[in-house]
Amino acid sequence: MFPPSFDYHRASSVSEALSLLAELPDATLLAGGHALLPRLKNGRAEPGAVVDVSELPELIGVDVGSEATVVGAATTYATLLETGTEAGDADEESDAGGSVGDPTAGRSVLEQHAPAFLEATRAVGDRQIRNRGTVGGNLAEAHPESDLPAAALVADASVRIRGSGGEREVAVEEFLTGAFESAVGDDEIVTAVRIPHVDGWDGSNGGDAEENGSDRNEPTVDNGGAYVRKTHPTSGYAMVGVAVRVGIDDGVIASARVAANGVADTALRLSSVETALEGIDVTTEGVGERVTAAVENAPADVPEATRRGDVHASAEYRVSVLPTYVERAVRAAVDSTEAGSDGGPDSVGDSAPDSDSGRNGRRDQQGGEPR
Amino acid sequence: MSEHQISLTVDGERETLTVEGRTLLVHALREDLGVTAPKVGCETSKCGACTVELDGDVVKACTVLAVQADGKTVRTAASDTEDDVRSVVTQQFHEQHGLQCGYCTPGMVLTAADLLRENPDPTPSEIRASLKGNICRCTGYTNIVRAVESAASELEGTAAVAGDGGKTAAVDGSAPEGDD
Amino acid sequence: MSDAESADAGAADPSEHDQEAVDEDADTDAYTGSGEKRREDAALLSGRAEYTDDREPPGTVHLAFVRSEHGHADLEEIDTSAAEAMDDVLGAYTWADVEASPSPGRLQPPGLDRDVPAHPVLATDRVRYHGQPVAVVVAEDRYRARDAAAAVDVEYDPLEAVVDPETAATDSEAPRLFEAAPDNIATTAELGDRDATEEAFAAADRTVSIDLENNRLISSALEPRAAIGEFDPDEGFTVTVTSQSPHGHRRKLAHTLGVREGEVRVVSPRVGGGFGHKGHHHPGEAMAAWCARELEVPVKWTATRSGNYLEGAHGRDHRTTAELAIDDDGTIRGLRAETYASVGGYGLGSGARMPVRYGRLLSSQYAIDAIHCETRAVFTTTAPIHSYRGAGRPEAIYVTERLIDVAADELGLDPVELRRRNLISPEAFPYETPVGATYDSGDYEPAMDKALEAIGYDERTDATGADDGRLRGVGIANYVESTGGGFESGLVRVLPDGDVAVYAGTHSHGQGHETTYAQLVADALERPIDRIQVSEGDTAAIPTGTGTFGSRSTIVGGNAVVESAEKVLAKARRIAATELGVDSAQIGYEDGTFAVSGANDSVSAEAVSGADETVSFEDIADTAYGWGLPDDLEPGLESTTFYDLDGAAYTFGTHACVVAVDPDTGDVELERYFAVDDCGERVNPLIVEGQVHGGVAQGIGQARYEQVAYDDDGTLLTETMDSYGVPRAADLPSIETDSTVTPSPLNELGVKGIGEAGTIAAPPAVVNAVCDALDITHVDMPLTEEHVWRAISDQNEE
Repeated sequence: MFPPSFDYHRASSVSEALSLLAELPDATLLAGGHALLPRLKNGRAEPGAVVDVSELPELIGVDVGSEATVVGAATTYATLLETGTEAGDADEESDAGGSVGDPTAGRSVLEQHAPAFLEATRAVGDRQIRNRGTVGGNLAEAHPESDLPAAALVADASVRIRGSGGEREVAVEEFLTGAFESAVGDDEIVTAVRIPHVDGWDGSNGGDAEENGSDRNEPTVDNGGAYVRKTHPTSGYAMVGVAVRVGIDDGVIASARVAANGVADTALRLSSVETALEGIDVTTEGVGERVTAAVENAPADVPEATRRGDVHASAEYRVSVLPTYVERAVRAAVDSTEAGSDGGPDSVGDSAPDSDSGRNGRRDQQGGEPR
Repeated sequence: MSEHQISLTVDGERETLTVEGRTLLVHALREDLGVTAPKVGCETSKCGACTVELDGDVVKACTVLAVQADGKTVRTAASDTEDDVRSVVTQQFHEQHGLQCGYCTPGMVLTAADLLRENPDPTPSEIRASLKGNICRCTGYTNIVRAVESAASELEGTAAVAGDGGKTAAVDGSAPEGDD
Repeated sequence: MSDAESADAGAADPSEHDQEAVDEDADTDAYTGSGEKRREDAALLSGRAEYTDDREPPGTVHLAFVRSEHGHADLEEIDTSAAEAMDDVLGAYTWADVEASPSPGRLQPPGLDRDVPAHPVLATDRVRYHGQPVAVVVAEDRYRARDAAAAVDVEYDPLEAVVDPETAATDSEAPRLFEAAPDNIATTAELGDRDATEEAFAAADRTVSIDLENNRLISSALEPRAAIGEFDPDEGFTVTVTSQSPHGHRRKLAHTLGVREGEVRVVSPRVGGGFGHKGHHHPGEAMAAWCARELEVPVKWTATRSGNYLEGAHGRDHRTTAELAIDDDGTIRGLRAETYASVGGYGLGSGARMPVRYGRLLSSQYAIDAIHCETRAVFTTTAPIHSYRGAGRPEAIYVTERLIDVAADELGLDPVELRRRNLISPEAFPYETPVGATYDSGDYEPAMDKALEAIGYDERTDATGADDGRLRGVGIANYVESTGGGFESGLVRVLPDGDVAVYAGTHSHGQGHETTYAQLVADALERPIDRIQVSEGDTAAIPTGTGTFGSRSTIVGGNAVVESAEKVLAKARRIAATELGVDSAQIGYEDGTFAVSGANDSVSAEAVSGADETVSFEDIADTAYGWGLPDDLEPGLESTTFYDLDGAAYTFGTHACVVAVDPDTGDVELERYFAVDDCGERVNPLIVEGQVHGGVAQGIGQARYEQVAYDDDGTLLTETMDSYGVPRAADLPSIETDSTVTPSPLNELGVKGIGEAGTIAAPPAVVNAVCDALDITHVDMPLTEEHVWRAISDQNEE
């Protein structure tokens, strides 16, 4: 379990890293190391050169803009959790107008716009790994059981990739091309992950904030999200992980994003579930049954050929329990909205998501350790 | 194969050495510098026996290249326990019989202290979740959890952990409890 | 020995001393029985403690293995030339090199029915498991050794593999591993009386049966095995090795290397967990020593995690069909079991014979008239099997404790009630079982009741505890554990200043002997504990001993050091008598002071204040090594005991747990786990509790997460901790404990071993609880989400 020999280069800038990737034979990128180093040690990778971009300032940081939050690719999970959860000015403003018990009170911009992404980040690895591993590295590795890809999908996130020809932005859905395969080319670098802020009932983003003068740091819809996972019995990755984002309009699910990882070669959107969820009134009797019915067809969203399993948890099992985890994630997401937190007669509030950090049943709820 | 001269501070000592690009930090510490407190257990970032603090953050030294530690400060469990948190944690591991063979212990203690600096009053389940990256095959963890709990109680009375440990509530990822 | 004998000759009546020892136990100042904090902790906590890999003699070079990529294959060609041509590579060796050397190069023979070759240190012409060592390379450092190993080119001709022991033994199409074992059966064994058992089954009202798989496990000590071989032409070999049994390794290494035991010194520094596999002899330490002689430099081998997992030894891996003959009133009449136990690709030492004896605990805690157990130990193309914490005991108790729950279900009886009706009564001890075990002492019902009360057994309901949709279940398991086999050495040496050096042939690797033995000797000598030092792990310094495994150290090692301390004290008393000019019978001793005592009353501090009538322990120590000893006394103040228990001491107890099963996902949460163990007197309750915790954690690991998996080609799929499920903190509940105390009559201290209790009791307790929750008769371990979910699905289909 020792890496084979390679040349190590520490790039001083992204453009230098790009030149090194182009010039050096069999060069590969190194950031947090938690994808590359294990593969080097077990003989699955034998690069001629390793280009270290882990400390490039231009790749590190969380930039909260008016329309989107941009996370530098080499930002560690820990840094994202630290800065991404700092309540900003926007929150103070929303506090002023918020009612007592407003679930958005005191939440940071990312917590309001992409709560599932933060929950998934919290669920990654362990303390040590979160201190070292990077957000961009996670997506670039395209590990089928990793937590972030599904959460990035429901956040409508995109990945910024720079190559010699300039920078392009690829939606996460197109970015993830297969197990351990992504759209980033051999001589390209993932520079950032862009998480758009929620705007409009359809959950889409990209409207021109300045034009209508709205403050995009605050969602214009009743937005909620959750990430629920079952930890793999040995690897500590997600055996099944489900990320959900819902937008509620007048008590009705106006938009839904549902994505899963662990069940297929790539994280993927469960579009039939999304469609079935839309229109459900979460404030009336019978919401539980309606959600249960809506998630029933989740397996149909996972193409047979891409299903994934191993000796500990077969593909058949993972897909079979997928609806259960989807349901729990949906309920948790609804509960995190203003409408859902009102707790009607048929509140979904008792539906504890059974995500955990270990495997001892539901001992630990929600992804990762509480901070 | 590239070779690199690196300088780093290890447990208060300034060290300069030459490493290959591929040399893992844990091997540079153990083989080149004779700093053997961090252990090699699993080699796949699972067990945490190699845990060290790198510029104050706990990391797994089997998954960091030595050359990446150039210019940085490494602290192992063998360093002076100048901070109260770790010395109290260490003492409580002894008091609560939180170790048997001792092989996981240097890493376990560093991670436990790191948790308490961030969250001075963790629940048992938070403690267990926080130790996910540190495997102990001997104790069954029951006494390790006890040790961390009693360290937390002991530290509670002291002002040592005031710092910025107080902002935990706001960043709890779970949905707020409905109070109506 | 003459020293010991002379000390014996002067000893006071041993029975009298027994009484004293018991009185001391009641003394609140006694170390024995107190939760003395461990003395070894300071070095371990600071990271100062030295394990094998932390040592690096000057000039050390590094060894790496080239391992078989196939589960079963003929070796066509091994080309080491590219490796040898590399810079900083000192050598590359294959079986041909070993064969040409003075060393026989085969690990100790397994002693099987079939005359098959013993495990070679490097593969001869065929590999019989994935990861079997094929060649070694030695280079200046680990990285270059890795490069050299990668440069060795091996050509294989793959053969068909067989990984399941029952298939290997019963399928006529199964590939054959050895010519001498045409049906792959290495050895067969029978325990108990077949005819009597058949009669019992014929007479009983009913029979219930069960098919069980006892899953293959890896001990997974966090420290991988390692060794440093050094060779001096004048002094022979010094092998520093991660050992549970330094003297065992000395003997085995001498065999493999083809030298006399006197030519091998084995040193074992701190050891980072063992659980069995550091008691076995593997090619690693042999090749480190062999290469050290070839190259005349210290050679270090440290297993990688995957190397450790590939070469094993693994544990368990039984397939058993078992039946219970039972009357409608719940009386168990008979039990029979037929077991296929995997040996692996080679018999690794005594590991291959483990299955022969496993059935000796099949009676568990019950009075069963007739038991018959037939075992076939079978070669499979997998890593060798050897002892892993429990070593046959968990396999046996699992059979019986599962069968009883199945029978209870069949009879409609409460499983606790069924157990209660069949418990061996406390008056029946010593109790001889039909499978050849003689239980020394026991009082089973109080321990069981304690566990039941703690877990709230009588108040349990089938309804879910909280209305969360999960199914609750309660499971209990009773167990017995045989402890204390073999002899052990204990040397107590008083130094001239009165310090006491204790040496034992056991070797602590987490068990806290430095503390436990110090407590025992401090009490026996009435000395402050900080004047006692305990050493283990160097064959050059320590009388030949056996080692630490099989829950044996406190019982045999502890009694050995106590007996030596008593002999030392007897001799000290004789010296004191000479000094004080009286008969040794008139010498009293308390808290480090010898005094002339009255005829009958015991000595008190006040009574011994007269200057001429007392002498201190330190003074006696000084005298023992000085001038002026009477002619009939040898100088020196030390004694060695080779302690051998007459029989085995049977620890017992009841473990109970509560589970919550998510019917939608198969997810299992252990909500409570409560262990009541009776290991007789507890020298250090803190350490005993720690042993229970650790054993239970590993038992839960077997029940819920751990499973070695091979594919059909014999490729190991669980090569690292990514794929082999060692439990983490969040995977386990807080383990609660309690005790009862039924002393063993077989030894002065009244102790029994405790190291393996948890691995024995936890698997059936957990499986019983899950079966109770789901209302099913059986589900095989490990109870992964999928296994449980499938059990639920199967049940729904019925």
